[in-house]
Amino acid sequence: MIPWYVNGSLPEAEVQQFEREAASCEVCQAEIERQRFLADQVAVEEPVEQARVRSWEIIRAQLDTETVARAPRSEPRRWFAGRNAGALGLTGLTAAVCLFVVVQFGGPGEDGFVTLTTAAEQAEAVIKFQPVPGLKDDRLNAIIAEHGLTNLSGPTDAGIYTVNVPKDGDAMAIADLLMALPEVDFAAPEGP
Amino acid sequence: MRLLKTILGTSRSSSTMSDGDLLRAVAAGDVAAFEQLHRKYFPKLMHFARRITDSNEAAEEVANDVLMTVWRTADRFEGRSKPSTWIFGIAYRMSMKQRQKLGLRKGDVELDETLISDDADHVEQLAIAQDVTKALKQLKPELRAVVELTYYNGYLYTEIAEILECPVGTVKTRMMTARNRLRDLLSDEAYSKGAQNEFA
Repeated sequence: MIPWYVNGSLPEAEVQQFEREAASCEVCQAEIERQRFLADQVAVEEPVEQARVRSWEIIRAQLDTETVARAPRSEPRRWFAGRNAGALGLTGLTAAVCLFVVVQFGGPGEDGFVTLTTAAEQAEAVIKFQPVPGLKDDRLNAIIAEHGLTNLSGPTDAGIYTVNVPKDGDAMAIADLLMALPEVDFAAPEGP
Repeated sequence: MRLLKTILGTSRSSSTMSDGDLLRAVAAGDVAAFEQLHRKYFPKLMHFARRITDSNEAAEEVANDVLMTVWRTADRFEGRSKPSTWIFGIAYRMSMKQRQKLGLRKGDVELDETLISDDADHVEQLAIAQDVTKALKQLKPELRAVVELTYYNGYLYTEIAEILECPVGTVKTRMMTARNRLRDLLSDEAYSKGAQNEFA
């Protein structure tokens, strides 16, 4: 109990019991002092501000990249920036006319109606997952194959794989199945 | 919705949110909340990962990867543990993986021997700190993790058990093993010097 008495996390009831027992125990007192010294040494902070700033820049860039990958056809903030109101209005009018023409004259029948999001829906989804450390290649390949997935890339330095979901596959459901496996630490769908 | 929030960010203040609130916001794609979480956890994750991997570069990479994993899987956090123990659980597994990748084994770490200073007290303090760092590096990473999570992060043994995904008894045994090993590695002189400096 000494380390958790020293770090202050011990519940109050256990603290009182421990202090009663330690009061008459010289060996315990000496050990408490040793552990306090060790705690002070372990808790020494090292400057990380530069690394933190660098890390956020990297992560932010990664988020931006993933955002673009997820929405290849729409980037509202960038798209609006740098264009004047007149150009926006003209472009909007043109888009509206095109939409009208497509819907009115060129659209497919009810069964195959094309919506503005169809392209995104038809794009292939991917799952990122991280197997447990040390998982054998043949087992990893078996997991990928059993779920009808195709390995796109990986592992990253952190051991993360990116796999392709089959066209009619439910990425969320497959990710859930992967998460249920003891050999997988994390799995989450990405993409549209 | 997540995509939209990712692009636009949010104007909502996240500086006063709890970890649970932050994680829920991150799950919804709130970049401002994620930045706040990053600001709070990056230093702790660096410290932890550095202790396990013995490398600044590797620790930085681990911290980045942990935070990206949090971003990607925050919606899967079910609240059965504290958010911080969930995050450090990810950090533990990634640090061990990184260590494995680096091919590090117990005792194969080059130690920094640069002690250049005219200030005798400073040199002595550095020497003590190096003694402890050196001694910690002699421990298996599983033991270091328990020491670090106890003395740097201030976790209780039950929380450490959640992070390491092991029984509470294993945590206590590892801590006892670490203490005994450190007592062997660190001379009484080091402990007494440390105590003298503390009270100087």
